[in-house]
Parts: sequence; structure tokens; C-alpha cells
Amino acid sequence: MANPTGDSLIDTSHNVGSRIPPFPDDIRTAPLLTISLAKLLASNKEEHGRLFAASRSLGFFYLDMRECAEGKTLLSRADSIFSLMNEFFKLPMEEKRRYDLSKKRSYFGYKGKGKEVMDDQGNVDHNEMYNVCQPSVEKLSLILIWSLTRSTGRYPKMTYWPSRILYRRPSLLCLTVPSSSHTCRAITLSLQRSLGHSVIL
Amino acid sequence: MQSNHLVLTTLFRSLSYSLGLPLDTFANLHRFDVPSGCHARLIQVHPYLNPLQQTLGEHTDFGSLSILFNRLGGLQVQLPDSHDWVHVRPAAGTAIVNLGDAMVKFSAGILRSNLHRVVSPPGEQAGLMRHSLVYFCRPEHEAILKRVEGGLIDAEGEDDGEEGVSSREWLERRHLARKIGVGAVGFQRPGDLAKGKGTEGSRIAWVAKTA
Repeated sequence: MANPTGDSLIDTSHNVGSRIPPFPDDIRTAPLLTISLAKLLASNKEEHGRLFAASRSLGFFYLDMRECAEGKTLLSRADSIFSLMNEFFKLPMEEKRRYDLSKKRSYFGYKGKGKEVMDDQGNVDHNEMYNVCQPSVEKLSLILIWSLTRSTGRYPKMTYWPSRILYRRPSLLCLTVPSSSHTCRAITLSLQRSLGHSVIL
Repeated sequence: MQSNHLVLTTLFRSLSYSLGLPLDTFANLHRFDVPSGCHARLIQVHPYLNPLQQTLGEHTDFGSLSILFNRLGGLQVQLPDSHDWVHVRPAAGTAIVNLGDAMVKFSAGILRSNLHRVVSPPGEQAGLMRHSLVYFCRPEHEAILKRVEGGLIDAEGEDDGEEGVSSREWLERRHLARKIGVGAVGFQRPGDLAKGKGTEGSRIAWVAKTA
């Protein structure tokens, strides 16, 4: 699946003109095992053994999610979050600081650069972060959407009907914005892709 | 089931199986609807001029499982035998998953939580804005971080009698040790990071026997 802001997490090696320079081939890399989510879901004993070996030796592994529907869904939703994340971090600092909950001693919300030490000499970090508590990937998309549309000054009216109410029909999200704009359309398309729900403008 | 929760449950069940434990052993310590430190993190790192610049110092992860989606390089792991730092190449269609301290505690050290860090991405990637999406799975707040009973864990010698702290206490200690301006529990002077030490160094990595 192509992503307008850069390479996809889904294999798009056939795409021409990737905007991300390749990872160098001439540097030493870690020998991570690749574990298949599809095989684990199928209770493949050999794959159980490989995961166990990876978890005892290095504790790091690649989880290949391309061969099952559940994995492809997660990859697709992660792709959409990358798009949304890109837009979120471009927001003006005063907007991002609305979500800074550190004074409330909360672990969650926005953290600007220089709030944590990186090493034992006390050098501070240069990372911006946004921590969201106990979300599903699906809810994370909604949270980002809300942050972005709030920043445009156009508060959307969101109405969400989970499938249990609609009785075997897919969940439905209605998103009403005061007026159409490039940002709102981009956000809405991202939301639709990330959640896999119908979105009515 | 939410998609990331499905992945976690699958991994927990597989590890429980391999350790000879009831399949829901680990999943029951990470119930989705019970309060925990689980969270998703979005990270943006601006490009550095110095290619050797670290953006996140060496550490082990605080919780159970971390699922990382990234596109650029920069993540490095320390190899257990040589202690060399090597890059982890991103791979399309995959997440990079690693175990955290809680799995070491639960498994009496059979499972490994490895040291890792983040540096500038290598080569031409170094000049790019770096984004990452990580899902950190932690045990329920009140779960006690000590060995579970049964399976291969019972063969790891007698319980050393460690009382174990709750997941909440473990997270708070490790998290606050890096924070500035939170008083004595936080970072005030060089050397204070030891207050946030994890399970690194607690066990020599297991190496698969070759035929």
C-alpha cells in the first residue's frame, strides 16, 4: 500500500523512486531471526521453537506479518499512523504543548525534547514523543485525528456506532467537519484507511 | 480482538507453550482490560550532524514485549557474547519485537531482555527526520515480577526467595531514574542512572547448540 508521506511498512519494493535512501549494505547488522505470525497462529511447532530460540538468545526478532490477514491489517494501520504522526509533529509547539501532561505527573501525553537523560553523564535527549495509554492501534488513530482536527480550529462532530449496535454490520464512524479543506480530507482518508471503517463526511 | 492485542496474545501463548506452562500463563498477566503501563509511543527525532550521536542511551525495556514499527535505521543491539554494538536493519512487512525485563523475571532468566540503544541512522538516512511507532506491553500494574511456577522454570533451581516488586513499582523506579526535576528518585547527578537499572547483566545469553 503506497503512503503519500514515504515508504510503506508493507513491502513496496516494486515501487520505483522511493524517497527513503536505502539502508547501507556494507555495515554489520544484527542476526535477527524472522518469525512468521501466520505460522504461530497456525500453531506450527517448528515456529514455536524458533521464537523460543530467538527469545532466549538475543531477545530480539523480526515478526513477519505479511502472510496473514491479521498481520496485514496491523501493517496497514501502522502505515496510516505514520502519516498521522508526521502531521502531528509538524504542529506548532504551542499546540503540541496542549498535550503536555508532565505537570500533572502523568506518563502520557506529549513530551518535548530535553526532559529525560540519555546516559549516565546526564546528557539530555533530543526526542519528541507522544505517549498514549493502553490504546489499540485503532483507537490511536482516532486520538491523532482528534488532535489534528482540533488544531485546525475545526472541531469535528464524531459519531461512532460499534458493530455490536449495528448488528453484524461493520462499525460506522460519522465525521462531520464545518467545511471541507485539504487537511480535513487528508485526515479523513487516513482515518478510513487506518480503521477500515466507512467514514461519512 | 484489537489487532495489536492479537499479536501479543499469540506471542505470549507461544512462549508459554515452549516453557511448558499453561498456554494462558503470560496472557493472564497482561489482560487487556486491566490497568497496566501498556502504551503506544510516537517518536520524532530530528537529524543530527554527528553520525555517532546517540539519540537514546543503552537500556533494557521495562515491560514484557515491545513492538516497533520503523522505516529508518538507528536501532542497535549489543551482542551478548562480544558486547559489540550492531545495527538492526528495518525490514518491510515486519515489526521488530523484543522482550523486556518482566519476561526475564517471570521466566527465572530463561528469556532474555537485551541491551539496545538508538543512534543516528547509517549512511544517507542520517539526514532524515526519524519517526517510530512503538507499542509497549507491560504486565498489569499489580502483577508481581517474579518467576512463575511450572514447566521449564521449575528446573531453573530453587526459587531464590526474591519477594519481587509489582510491575507498577518496577516501572516507576526505572522511569523516574531518567527524569530531570523530580527530586531524589530522579536524575540529579552522574551515576544516578544506576537507580533505574534493569535486568541487564543478570544472565549470560543462551546460545543455540549447533549440530
